Amino acid sequence: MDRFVTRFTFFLLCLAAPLFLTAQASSVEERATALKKQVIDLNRELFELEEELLYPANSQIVVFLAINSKRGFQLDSVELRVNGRLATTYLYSDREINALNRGGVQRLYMGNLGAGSHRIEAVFNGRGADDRYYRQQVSYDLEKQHSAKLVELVVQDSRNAANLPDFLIREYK
Amino acid sequence: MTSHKNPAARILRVLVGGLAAMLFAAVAQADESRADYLLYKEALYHIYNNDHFRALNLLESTHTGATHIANKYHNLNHLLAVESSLHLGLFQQAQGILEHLDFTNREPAIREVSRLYRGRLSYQQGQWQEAIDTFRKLGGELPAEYRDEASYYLAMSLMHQGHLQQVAPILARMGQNSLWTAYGYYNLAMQYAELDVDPSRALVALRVAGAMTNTSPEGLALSDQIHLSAGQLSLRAEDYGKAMTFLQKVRVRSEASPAAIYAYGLAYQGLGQYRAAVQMWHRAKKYALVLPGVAESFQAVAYGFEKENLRSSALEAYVEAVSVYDKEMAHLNKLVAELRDKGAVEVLLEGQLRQEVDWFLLGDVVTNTPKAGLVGYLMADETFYRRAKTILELRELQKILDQGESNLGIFQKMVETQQQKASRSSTARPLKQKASELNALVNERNRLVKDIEGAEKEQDYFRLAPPLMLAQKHRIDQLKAELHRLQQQGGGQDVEQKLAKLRLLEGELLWRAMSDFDANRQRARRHVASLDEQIHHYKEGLKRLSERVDDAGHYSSERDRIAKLRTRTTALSKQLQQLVAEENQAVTRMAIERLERHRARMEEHKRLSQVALVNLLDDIAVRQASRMVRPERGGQL
Repeated sequence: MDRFVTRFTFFLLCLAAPLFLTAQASSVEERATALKKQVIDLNRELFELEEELLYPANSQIVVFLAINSKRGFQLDSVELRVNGRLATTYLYSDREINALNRGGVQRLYMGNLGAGSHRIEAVFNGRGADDRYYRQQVSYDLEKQHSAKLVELVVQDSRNAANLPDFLIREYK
Repeated sequence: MTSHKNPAARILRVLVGGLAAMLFAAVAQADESRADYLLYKEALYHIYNNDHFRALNLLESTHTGATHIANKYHNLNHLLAVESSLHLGLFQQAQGILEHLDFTNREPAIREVSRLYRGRLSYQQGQWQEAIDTFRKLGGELPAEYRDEASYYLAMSLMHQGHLQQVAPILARMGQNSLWTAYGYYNLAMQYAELDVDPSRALVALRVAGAMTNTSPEGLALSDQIHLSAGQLSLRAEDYGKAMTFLQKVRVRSEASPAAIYAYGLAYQGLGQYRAAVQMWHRAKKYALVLPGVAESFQAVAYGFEKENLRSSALEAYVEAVSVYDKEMAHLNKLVAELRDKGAVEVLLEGQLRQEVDWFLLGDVVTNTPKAGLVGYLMADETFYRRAKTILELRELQKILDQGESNLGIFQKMVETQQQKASRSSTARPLKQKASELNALVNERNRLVKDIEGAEKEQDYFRLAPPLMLAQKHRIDQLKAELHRLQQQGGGQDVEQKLAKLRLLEGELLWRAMSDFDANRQRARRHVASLDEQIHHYKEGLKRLSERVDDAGHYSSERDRIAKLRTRTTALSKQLQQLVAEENQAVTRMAIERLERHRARMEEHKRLSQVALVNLLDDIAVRQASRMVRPERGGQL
């Protein structure tokens, strides 16, 4: 009889084991999901706080980069200067270039500028359709008021040059 | 009659008010639309970079219907948030956003895409029937670029339910040269291969799948997998020629390459061409042993030599195989010991993490180093992959929290410093002084405006004249007074003449002042405008300074906010660490188990090679012995 009970208990345990494992796994998944959600919420609050503290709306300047070109210009890197001072440089990976080519827009730089006249300069480095390496510089003068200024660096198809697209700096109106 | 009683004036006022409101609304909407557009593009960039955390961080994923903004990009942003939520397994969040869209959206296309995501949500949760019902409800307004995806998920849901006969017609309606179609046919072929003894139905589906692939990296990888599967199925059916036709289409630099090479060798073997088979298997030896077909190739080379009657080469090949299996087992023993000691995260994932976080989540795992090869082998197990992915996501969260914690520390110091600066009394004194300066400036400005208005009203041409003209006028007035005095003292004709000349000069000056009056008036107005602008800047600056000085409570609230965020960050960080530690233990156990299985496979290969080696040596010894015996017998004979 004892032997039967032992065997039956073992049988039940064997049956229950997969259920227990599944419950444990799902519990981990549930906990991970809950944590992910909490971290995303927390990080968003942090992001907002950072923007409020470091880049207040009245002095904020944000520079985006977009590629609207199908001419085969392979962007390699970008250098950005604000009023002659180097603000940022960025070297692109294949995946980032792919994201830009598919319509994504990159937030290249975020900073502060006082009201008044300013100059933005950008240097685009990359390989043209003729497989030559190009370094193109463009500049833009902007007038900043007491509100956030959004600027976009754009690589877009040109009607003139065969191997190179146009490189533009423009404001988001 | 006052204007507010005049109906015409009222209508005009209402009209102007309405237009102004519309204009204001249009400007506000344009602003919101622009913000949503930028948000959409930026989130898209992060999603294409596989950075769903950052995308969700940007996208507002939860808000009520009251704050909904009716523009195209606002809705698209919700859909991006659903996409990222599904990617991260945040099903409840995805469900919430979809419900919000159902409630607020009025665009038919968005409604259909939203329904597609709802179907995907059911699909990802394994609710096949619900997914089928949802996908079947999709209407003609679903944008063309989503149609193949919808059909794919419907077909796969039906497949999971076992309705294979309904799958093929759906796939047949899908677009050609679409990877969705290719994947659909590939999965169908694999189902046929499992069910049928005769592989012809599966091979036809694989042929169609192969024709649907494109030249993108993903398309090429899928094409390799399709041709490898087709080759293996043909081998199973002992159709060696057909197997070779499929296998030779697998690219050399592909994941499927070693398995294809091994299968190609088997096809040669099936045709009895052992030399060609050996040449083929030789090529597989450069790959990691853990990859399908590589360990078998070492043995197969020796077997091929044996069949070709090249015994010494066969001996060497068996010895080489045994040595290679030994090395692999020694490597596995070391790795398992390391895993027991440090855990899977540090041993298997940490080193790779330093290079790129999601390197192994991509299809193209680098397999040229034993460790990377073994990681690839472990990841081939779905459960292990899922749990390792969870660990890596949790570690990514940990990094985000660490960064957040560090930023919060910086912010706290920054706010404290600002608060200290603002509370110093030395800031308050210049503030009062600046305020009185501003008041003086405003008074000056008002006086100037009054002067302009007075000059305009009284036609005082000299009041707005430039300083030089005013000085000339002043000088003329002085001379005139002097001459009048001299005249009264009996100055004579000379004084009269000078007075006449002075009147002429005065007239000329008046004439110039009259002709310049408009220009002078405009110049004065410009001065006022410029002064107004300066006063505005001054006021703004003073306001900000005043806010900094007065708003000590603002800094306190910011400090509180930072402190609360820090508390939450620390608590979350602890929870994460605990979960990662638990998962690390579980994944380590799974890794060891799977590596032990691989080790057992190597052990078995080694045993078989040793047996084959002994048999071969035995055979050689017997033959040599019989050769030695034969002459003796011959001698005897």
